[in-house]
Amino acid sequence: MALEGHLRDLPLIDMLYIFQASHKVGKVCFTHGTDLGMIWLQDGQLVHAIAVNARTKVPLAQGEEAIALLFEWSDASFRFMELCADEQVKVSITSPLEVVLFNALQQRQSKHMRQSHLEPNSLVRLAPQLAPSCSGGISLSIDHWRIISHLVVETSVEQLADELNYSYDQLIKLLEEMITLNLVNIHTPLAVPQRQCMVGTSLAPQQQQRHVRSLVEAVKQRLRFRMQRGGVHVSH
Amino acid sequence: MSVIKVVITGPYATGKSQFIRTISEIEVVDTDVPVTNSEELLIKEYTTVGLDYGMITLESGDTLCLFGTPGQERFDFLWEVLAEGCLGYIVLVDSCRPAHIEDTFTLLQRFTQLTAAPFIVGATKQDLPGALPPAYLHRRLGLPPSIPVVGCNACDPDSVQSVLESLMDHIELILKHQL
Ligand SMILES: Nc1nc2c(ncn2[C@@H]2O[C@H](COP(=O)(O)OP(=O)(O)OP(=O)(O)O)[C@@H](O)[C@H]2O)c(=O)[nH]1
Ligand SMILES: [Mg+2]
Repeated sequence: MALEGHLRDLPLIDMLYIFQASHKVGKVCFTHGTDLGMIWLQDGQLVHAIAVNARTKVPLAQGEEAIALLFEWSDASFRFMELCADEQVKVSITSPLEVVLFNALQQRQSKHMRQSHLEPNSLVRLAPQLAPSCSGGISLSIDHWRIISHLVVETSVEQLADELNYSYDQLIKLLEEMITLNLVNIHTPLAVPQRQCMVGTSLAPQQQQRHVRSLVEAVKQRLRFRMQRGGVHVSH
Repeated sequence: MSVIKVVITGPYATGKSQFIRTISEIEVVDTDVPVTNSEELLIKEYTTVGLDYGMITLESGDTLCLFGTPGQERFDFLWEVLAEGCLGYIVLVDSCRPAHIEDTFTLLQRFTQLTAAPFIVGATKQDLPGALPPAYLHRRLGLPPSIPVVGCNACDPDSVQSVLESLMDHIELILKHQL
């Protein structure tokens, strides 16, 4: 078992930034109908990519072009794999990730094929760690900066379009670029009602709290004891 | 003498049974049966149809009981019974199955309405290649910053222990804020 799924559940952009941040070494195989794609990662960096037609064995693309093609396969399935013991990885991609992704986004053929699940009511916010300065020559436009200055608080796409006086399509395009550059995250917050520590006894609130605190302390003590003894005796 | 109830929940095949089996002192009451649904078979061979139940006795004489919820939706009616009077609960999310993030979100929505007990999220299968990091799962699940997502390997006793400890720490923190 390893990481596997569909790009609709884990967008390619997210996947590549996660692998970069965790310095992943390995490869990912993508299946899209009869087409196959494969990317290779060294120390989290995307170093090589290919796409072929599995039936005819005809190569479809290589390097950055293959990444651009993967962007079109939004319903592809994927599987992470570790490198084989003596696998020599070819290098066909040398640009920084954000540049590769930004270029791929620009080349995307179908304008309707969205990389993210942006809807009018989606909430967007600045990414907690802004992407490293785009060393590959991507500079932000005044529109990007306007959006950044409005995202100090989490805002819905609809509200942002209103506030900045952009058309919906114009804003989506800008936001997608910023998501690609890892500057902005989409966020669907879970509404969690206030938590309460009760354990179902009919004690007064103050006593309940004392009771819960003593139970928690007892559990912690037991767990620490387990640690000291070097493991619990599990009998099956 | 008290029975302290902690519920281990999460979507199908996230490692609930494994989590309880790994830490329980007693032989876990095994209600797993072979999977019959062909889609589910792709994920695993056995599923829990009843309850997973594990136990850890405390020095005070109290007992910590771990209850696992059955993963498949047709057993949802058991959730309410299990959630009642629990000290806290742990929602497990599979770090290697992004397709299940949405199911986990839905489960979280329902469980947080069902009980006001404190909870944390355990991201299982962190030992497997390509596992998604807890911070990413935290974001995708739309969790408030105060709710921790702790990475774990449900097969490793130390890892399971540290998830339980995180839940206890989290409960203590809530108690402090309630003062
Ligand atoms: N390597 C690894 N395997 C795990 C981990 N957690 C669970 N597994 C394995 O994943 C499979 C499914 O785990 P279960 O414990 O049966 O999952 P479950 O949540 O009880 O499943 P249902 O009862 O069907 O909902 C089993 O083979 C486990 O051993 C983990 O953290 N790491
Ligand atoms: Mg089970």
